[in-house]
Amino acid sequence: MGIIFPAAWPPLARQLLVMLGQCAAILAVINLTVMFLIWLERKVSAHMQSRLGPMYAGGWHGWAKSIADGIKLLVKQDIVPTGADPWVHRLAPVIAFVPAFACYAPLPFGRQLAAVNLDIGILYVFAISGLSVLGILMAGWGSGNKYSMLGGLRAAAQLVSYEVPRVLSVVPVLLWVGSQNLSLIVDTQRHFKWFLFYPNPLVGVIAFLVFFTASVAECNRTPFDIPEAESEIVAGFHTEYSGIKFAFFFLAEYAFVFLSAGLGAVLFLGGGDGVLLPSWVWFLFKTFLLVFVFMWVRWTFPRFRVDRLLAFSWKFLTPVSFANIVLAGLTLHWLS
Amino acid sequence: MTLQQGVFDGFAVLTLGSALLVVTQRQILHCALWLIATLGAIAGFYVLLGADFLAAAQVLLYIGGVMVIMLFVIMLSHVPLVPQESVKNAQWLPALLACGLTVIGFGWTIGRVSWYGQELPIATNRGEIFEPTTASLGQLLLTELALPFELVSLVLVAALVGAVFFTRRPES
Repeated sequence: MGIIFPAAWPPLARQLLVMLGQCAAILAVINLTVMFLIWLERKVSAHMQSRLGPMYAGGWHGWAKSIADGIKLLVKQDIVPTGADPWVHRLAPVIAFVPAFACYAPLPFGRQLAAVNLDIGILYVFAISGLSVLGILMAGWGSGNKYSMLGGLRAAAQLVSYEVPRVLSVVPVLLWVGSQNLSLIVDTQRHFKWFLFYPNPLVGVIAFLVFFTASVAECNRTPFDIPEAESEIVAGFHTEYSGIKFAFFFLAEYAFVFLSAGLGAVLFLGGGDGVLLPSWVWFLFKTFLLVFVFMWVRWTFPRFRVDRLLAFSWKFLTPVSFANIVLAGLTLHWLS
Repeated sequence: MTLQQGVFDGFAVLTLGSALLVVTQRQILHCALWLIATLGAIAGFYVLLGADFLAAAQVLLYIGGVMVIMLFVIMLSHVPLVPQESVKNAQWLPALLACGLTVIGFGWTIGRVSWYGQELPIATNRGEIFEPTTASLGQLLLTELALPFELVSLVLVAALVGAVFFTRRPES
């Protein structure tokens, strides 16, 4: 360590170096995971439709397909349409992409394995992940294309609507733990006291289902993918994007899928809690299980209609989450 | 100059610069985007002051909620991509007077309090992290400040009912 961090260096410089190292590690891990998820999605969708999916690139079951895709997107021509607002168009993918990565900071990948032990953990994740909708709105407006614009509008309406039940569904967990710290939430669930079924299975299952449904909607995935519904509005907000800028939107979507699955595992499935294996293995196992459910849902259900989508959030999920909070409070009252 | 002072100055320049751009840009969507930068920089000040909950709430509600709705409304109202007419209009003199009076009023109030010599509670270089504020905020809101808290929710309910009333379709 003496070579990497000479003692004569000011502490600030050392701290900045450590932070940079942490950021680089998170970025590398997430990018690799996302590339794996894209390959997995192709395989899962293919097998659900009685196809084989990618089989050629790299040899064994097309494992190098995502790498080949990444290189293709990197070398593609970068186009800014004539009618676009150039800076809004260029900034949009970055603004959609950065929050996805910033959200991983407080996520505990196992016992004592969070990059930052943040007291406002959940609130931080919800606040930062809400920023990526700005990127989608800017993409929709800045492209100078009416289909993009419609996609952006739909995204805004959908994400604002589903943010409400998503935040409310987590409130029972907060009531039981008494803290928003994600590491503390995992610690409270040790020895199989998972919130999915521990103090009250009814409340736990309802909260988990609402959280999962709202998360699918927040990730813009089928059956809630109306912002990019190709049968109606070409490709929605990313119609005019090509090459690396399109890749940014794609990366952001899969980073959010993994984040939502990880949050689900941390909040309701005990995070890294399990027997025999190390905690990070359990965390990854539960997270990938939830990711698989995300893909399963995507390739099973047809797309919602816009008005039904919004009504479902406001007239069903939101009241259910409120009732669930009351139930959670009553459970807490009876227990004490 | 300490690091803290440097970060504060950075946020101050960002806040004032983007606020200036909000009122001088001619494309209304650009104004809204700069307003997002202003609100984000203000969240930065909250972090610097050790108010972690407030900073996250600022980002969640103002940027993730209010500004998204604002962009949504701008996109719904046919705004062409090319810049609009001048930002000045016939009422610039009364507006300038009103703003000037507000600035003087705020300046006078702020000037009456002694702000200097008080260290901000942020960590500088070692592991000393500021005290989390969520728990104490919750305690205050449900005990000492319960009445104002409930009054604010009453105002919000009134606003919601009003919005529903105005958008209601006449029954045929």
